[in-house]
Amino acid sequence: MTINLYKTFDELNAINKSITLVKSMTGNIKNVTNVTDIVVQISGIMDIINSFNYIFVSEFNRYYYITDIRILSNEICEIHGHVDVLYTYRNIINSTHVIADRNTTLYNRYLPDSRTLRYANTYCIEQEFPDGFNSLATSTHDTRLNYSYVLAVAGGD
Amino acid sequence: MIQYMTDKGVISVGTVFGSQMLPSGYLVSGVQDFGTLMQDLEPLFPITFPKSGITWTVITAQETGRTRYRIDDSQGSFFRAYTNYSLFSYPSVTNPTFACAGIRDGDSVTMNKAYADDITTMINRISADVYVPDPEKKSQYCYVFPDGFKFYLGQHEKVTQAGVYPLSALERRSGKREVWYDGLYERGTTFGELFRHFYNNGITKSNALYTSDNLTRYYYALSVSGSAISLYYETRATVTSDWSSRKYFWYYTALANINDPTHVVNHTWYSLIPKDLSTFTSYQDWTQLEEYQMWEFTEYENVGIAVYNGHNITPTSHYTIEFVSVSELIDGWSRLNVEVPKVPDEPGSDSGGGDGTFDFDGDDITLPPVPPIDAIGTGFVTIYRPTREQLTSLSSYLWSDLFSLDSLKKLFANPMDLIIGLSLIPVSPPISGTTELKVAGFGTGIMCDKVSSQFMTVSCGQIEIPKRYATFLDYSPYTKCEIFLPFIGSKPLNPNEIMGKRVEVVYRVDILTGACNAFILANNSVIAQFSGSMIYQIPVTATDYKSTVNGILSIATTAVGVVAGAVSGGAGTGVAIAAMNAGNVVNSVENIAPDIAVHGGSNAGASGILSSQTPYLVWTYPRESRPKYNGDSFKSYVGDTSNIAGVVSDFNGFLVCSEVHIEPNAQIEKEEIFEIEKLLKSGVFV
Repeated sequence: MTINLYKTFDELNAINKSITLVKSMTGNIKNVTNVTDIVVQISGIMDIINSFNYIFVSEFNRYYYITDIRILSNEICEIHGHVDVLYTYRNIINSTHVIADRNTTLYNRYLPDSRTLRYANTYCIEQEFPDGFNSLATSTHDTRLNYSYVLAVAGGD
Repeated sequence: MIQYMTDKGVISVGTVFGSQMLPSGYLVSGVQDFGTLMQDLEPLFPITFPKSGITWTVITAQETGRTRYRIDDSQGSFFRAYTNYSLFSYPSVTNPTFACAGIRDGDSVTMNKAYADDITTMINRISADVYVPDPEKKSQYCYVFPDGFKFYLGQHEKVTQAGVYPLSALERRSGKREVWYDGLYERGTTFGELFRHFYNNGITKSNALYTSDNLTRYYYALSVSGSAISLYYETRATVTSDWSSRKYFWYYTALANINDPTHVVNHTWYSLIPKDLSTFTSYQDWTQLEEYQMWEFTEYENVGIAVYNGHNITPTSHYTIEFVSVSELIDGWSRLNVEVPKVPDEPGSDSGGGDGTFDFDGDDITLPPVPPIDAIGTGFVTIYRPTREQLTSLSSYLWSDLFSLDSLKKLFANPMDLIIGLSLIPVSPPISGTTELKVAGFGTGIMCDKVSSQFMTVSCGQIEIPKRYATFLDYSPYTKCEIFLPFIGSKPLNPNEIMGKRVEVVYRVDILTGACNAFILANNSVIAQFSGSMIYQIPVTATDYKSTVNGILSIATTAVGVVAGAVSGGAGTGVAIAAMNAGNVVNSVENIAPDIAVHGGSNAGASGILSSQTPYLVWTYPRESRPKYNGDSFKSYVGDTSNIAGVVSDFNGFLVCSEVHIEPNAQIEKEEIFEIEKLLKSGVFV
């Protein structure tokens, strides 16, 4: 069974990972109960044991991130892996229809966001209108704003 | 159905009609043309297609907007490369009804191999009539997915102008997903229920079910036996009650002549159901199918029905149209030999809602006009705008011997009772000119500005309200706003009503009473109004201002008679009546004045004069705490609220999904699907 050993520096929860092939080996599956969590035994990798953190098992056509490595002898290592469904099925996932709850690039910030924290010391801002009741009169006949006496008397002219 | 993972995506192979419609998640990507696809995929499949020597008849390629062809052999197996090309072949149909893409009725294309040159040959052959979409144009389409009854709207190639386009136009263009809508009907909705619902409620394409502008617009050619090919322009929406179990498949179309797209030929609801209303079980069910087409001709009141059976597809059967009324259609359904399922009574809750107009265009509320008549015009009241010196002269005059009219003194205790009011007001009332100041019609010899109108308008100017965050934080309840209005006080404003708009404050002032009304306008539309008083009364007698006014008005009828008699000596019944009417006019003017309901106006009158004279807004904005480190960390690692539908590849960066739908796939273990969904909902990096 061909097992490709890879190195990746991407987050575990990245779909489109960048992986670098370290070495292609053959190994044996140990105690296969399901394809999502596997244990494989590989020999001859002691010198590169720190060089990979990711494997591809051709028989299962799946990528796995390594959860544990146990050294059984000078030659044989036992690698425990859990399937990386994100990378293995990246083509399907990339075309999967979703409704995004949050995203870095496609968002609408007019939706109230409970994750947004707010300081207690709020901004208090005043905005004054350009005109008032004591500033506009430019002459005694200016009908805009100027204090005036108003005399109302009985009768007409 | 067998699905194959290839370097071009997942390819599905199955039976024709018994299979599910492939969701676009399984679209083959990167394929340039059909022939290339064939060449690439032929080694991958344990089937041979197309079989050499078989005559493949093109009976439809009606969705030329999507450029889909399908190849089907006589065994019912098929290969479908979605969004690519398929050629329909129905071996049992010797005289196909629909001939599209320029293939005339009865034409056939022999394909000994399904390579690109065959397609090219076909295209060349029919180039005189073919209508292939312009790949550079965009349109929208609507699609339905099996689970969840999602309506999918997206961009697709748009055909805006008829024409002949090169073969390259058939190349697939990727669509961009835009909007998901939750479906309207629950699983198990029967055809009869749908039918009743649509027709009893008069649902048309303008209903909320779909928005016509968002529907698919396909071009395709319809060929009716014995007639020339006609090109139609189709707007389509699709509904399914349970696609996955293939119960019912609905779609709605609106057809318009391609040469005059604005002229809709008809609207049509199609339904595809098994005769016995059961589910489809196999490809062979196609031959058990009856198709009921309900044609709603816009030019006719009646509804036309075309019924044909899959066993007997003939060119003319499609167009055997009988016209019946809607009620006859429902009540007489049995004549079609199909029992209309009874709509079960729904105990308990009623369904409904969601069928609003979605029209949110309101009216602009303009400033009310100034009352056309006022107290000045009555002749009982004259308003002057005197100077301080003129007032001093008037006071001296009224208490002098020069002012000694016995008749007036019988009505008024002292000469100052003739002064209705003397006040200070923070505006300059408009004047009609300078005249002699007269009291009760008697000249005082003092020249004074005479006020021309009881009412005046004062604008305090406009200010722009910027969106400081351009997020939800700019709006209520996160942001609060108050407005201080001189002579009225502080009043709350709803930030949502003014955010991003131009706000203006306009006062309407009653010179006589001092009443003022402040109008708040947002983009020239009144959104609020508050009342107060801006007059500062100057005492001239021991009698208060209000009682003076009331006294003047109450004695108006008598006084006018006396005054008029004293002045002109012509007192009489007619004058008294006129005076009464005049008094009514004054009262009416009071009523004309804005109905003032003071909302906590704590800043009116004298205190208003001592307060701020300029209106202003007081904002309380939240302060957002947004972590940033080498960029917007929040955006990068938490993401902003989205609620946007699409496929995962439409998004970049960190993605948290609220809803995920992964089609069951033979290659993926069920627990892997669960894990994928869990990961997508907890957040992944795309």
